[in-house]
Amino acid sequence: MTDQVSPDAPTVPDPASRHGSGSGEVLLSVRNLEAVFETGDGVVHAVDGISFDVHRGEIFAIVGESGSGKSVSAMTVMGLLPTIKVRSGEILWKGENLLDFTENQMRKIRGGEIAMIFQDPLTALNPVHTVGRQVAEMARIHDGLSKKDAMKRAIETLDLVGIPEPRKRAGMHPHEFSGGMRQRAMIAMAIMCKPDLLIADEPTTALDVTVQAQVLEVLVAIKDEIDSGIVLITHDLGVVAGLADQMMVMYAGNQVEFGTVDEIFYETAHPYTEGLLKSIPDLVGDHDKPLIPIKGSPPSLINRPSGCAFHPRCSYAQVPGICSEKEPELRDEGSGHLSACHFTSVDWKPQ
Amino acid sequence: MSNADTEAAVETPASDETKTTSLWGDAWKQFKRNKLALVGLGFIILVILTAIFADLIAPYSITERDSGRFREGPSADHWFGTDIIGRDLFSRVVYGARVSMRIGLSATAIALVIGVIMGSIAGFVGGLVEAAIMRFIDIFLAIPYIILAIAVATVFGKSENSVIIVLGFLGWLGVARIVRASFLQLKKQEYVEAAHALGFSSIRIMFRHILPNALQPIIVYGTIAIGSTILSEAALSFLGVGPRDPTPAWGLMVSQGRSDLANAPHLLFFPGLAIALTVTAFVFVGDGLRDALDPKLKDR
Repeated sequence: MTDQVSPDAPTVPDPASRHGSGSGEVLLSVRNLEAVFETGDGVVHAVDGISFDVHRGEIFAIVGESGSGKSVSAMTVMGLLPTIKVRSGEILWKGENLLDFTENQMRKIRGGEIAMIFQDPLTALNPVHTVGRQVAEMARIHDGLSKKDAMKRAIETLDLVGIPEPRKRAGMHPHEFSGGMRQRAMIAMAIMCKPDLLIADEPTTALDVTVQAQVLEVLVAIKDEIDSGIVLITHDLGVVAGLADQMMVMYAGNQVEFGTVDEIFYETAHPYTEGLLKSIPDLVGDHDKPLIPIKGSPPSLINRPSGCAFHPRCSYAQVPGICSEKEPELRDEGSGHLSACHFTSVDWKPQ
Repeated sequence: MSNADTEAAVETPASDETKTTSLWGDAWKQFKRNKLALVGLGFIILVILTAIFADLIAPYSITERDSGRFREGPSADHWFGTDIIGRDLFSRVVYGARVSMRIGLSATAIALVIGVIMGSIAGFVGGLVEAAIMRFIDIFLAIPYIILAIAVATVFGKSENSVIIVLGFLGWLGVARIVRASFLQLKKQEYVEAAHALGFSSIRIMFRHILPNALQPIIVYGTIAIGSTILSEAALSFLGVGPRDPTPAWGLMVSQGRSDLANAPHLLFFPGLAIALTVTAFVFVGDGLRDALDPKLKDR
C-alpha cells in the first residue's frame, strides 16, 4: 500500500494559482485533503490528497466513475460523514477551516451558506409533508422567519425555479409532483436561504433525459440570480461539457486531471480521461464507430494497485516499469492544467 | 422552457382530482372497504358515547340497591338482571364503560408518549444509548406483568390509577421496540440525509421528519393496545389488584359473578360480553388501519 508522500506536497503545482471563467472571490478551497474510512477489512482510502478551489460565479465539476470518491469528497466538505476520518489537509470556507468547526457552527453553514442538492428527488423529499412546508422550513430554521413569511418566500422561490402555479403546488405532497418538478422543488429548498455555494450531487442522473436539460438550465439561472458558486458532481461528461468552467477528474480517490473544460476535452492529458471521453456514444459523427469502454473495473480502495492506481486498466502503461512502481504526482501540463501521469500527453498519445 | 409548460399542462387535470384526496382521505377510503373494521369502529363509538353519557343511559346508580331482588335474571325493570346485593347490572355495565375507556386510553397514552420518545432516541442515536434502552426493555419484558402489578398495587393502593401506571409503564416497552425498528429503517432514507445536509437539527429531524413517517405502525399498535389494555385491566381487576367494589370495573364484575355461575350466569355473561366485544372491536379497527395505512396495499 502506498500512501501519498506528503513531504512532496509543496512541489505539487497548486490548482489555486489559476482562475476559471468565474472571476469572483475564492469561496471553497480544499487543500491536500486525505480522508479514510477505517473498516473491519482495512483502511479505505476514499479521498487521497485532493486540492481544488471554487470561486463565486463558477461551476466546478467533479467527474469520475462510481466509487471514485467524488461524492465522499463533497460529503466530507459538508461534514456529513460521521464515520470518515480526515487524516490531513484543510477545507477552507471563506478562509476558515471547516474541519475546526463545531457541529453547531456546521449546522449554520449547511443549508445557510453551503446547500446540497441530491441525486434522487424521489427519495430526498419527505413524503409526509407538503412541498411548500418543506421549502418554507428552510427559512424558518435558518432565517427565523414566521410560518406565514416563510411560506410566502417558499412560494416565491418555487416560482423562481419554474414551478407553475406555485401557490397551489406548495400545498401538494411530493408524490403529486413529476420527477423534474421534484428536482426543482429540491433546488428551491437548497436556494431558500441564498447560499454562497450549491453542491449538486448528480442532480440530473435520476431524471428523464428530456427534463435533464431544463433542470440544468434552472441551476445555471439560479446561480446567476443568487450569485453563488456551484460544485457539480457527475459521471456524465455531456453535462459537464455544456456547463462547467473548471473540472477535476477523480479515479480511486485520487485527483488524476484538473483544468478548464476545454483543456480536458481537447488537450486530454491523462489516459483515464481519454478513456472516459472515448466511451461516450458519438451521436453526430461516424455511427459505425464502435464504443471503446475502459477495460476492467475500478480498483478496491483497500488494496489499491501499486504505483499508479490506473495502471492495470491503462492501455499505455509500462508494466513492469514506472507505472506499477511509482505513484505519479500531479504535474503541470502547461498553464495550470494538471495531470497525474508519469508521461506527458505527448509521450503516451499515439501520434 | 416550452417543455416545462407542456409537462405542467399534462399534469393539471390530475392535480385537480388529487386535491380532494389527501393522504388521510385515501386511508379512509381504504378503511371503509373493510366491513369488520367499520363494525368495530361503530361499536367503539357506541362504547365511548355510553361512557360519556352514562348518567343519562343508566336507569340506576352504581350503588343503588333494589332490596329483596338479588341475583335476578334479566327483566323489564333490570335489563341485565341484578347482582348479588340487588344492584342493577345494566347500569353497572354502562358505568363500567367509563372505567374501561379511562384506563384503556390513559394507559395507552402514557405508553405511546414514553415509548415514542425512548424508541426514537434508541433508533436515531444508536450506539451505547440504544443498547442501554433496549437492555432495560428486555429486563422489564422478562418480568411477568402480574407480579409488577401486584407490587405497584401494594405501593400505590388498589385503584384505577395504579392500574393505569402499571399498564402504561409496561405498554411503552412494546411501543419503543416498534418505534426503534421504524427509525432504524427510516434514518437511512435520503430525505433524512438531505435534512442533515440542509442544516436541520437532530431533534427536528427526529420528530418532524422521521416520526411522521413512522406513524403507521404506531397508530396500528396503539389501537390494538387500547383493546389489550382493557383486557389486562379486566384481568387485574379479576385478580383483585385493580379497582375495588363498588367501582364498576368489568373484570371485577366477572370476578364477583364467577361464584354464582350455576344459578345466575348473567352476572358473568354481560360484563364478560362487554369486555370481549370491546377488545374485539379495537382489534378489528387496528387491522383495518393497518391495511388502510399500508402504502403497499394502496392499489388493491
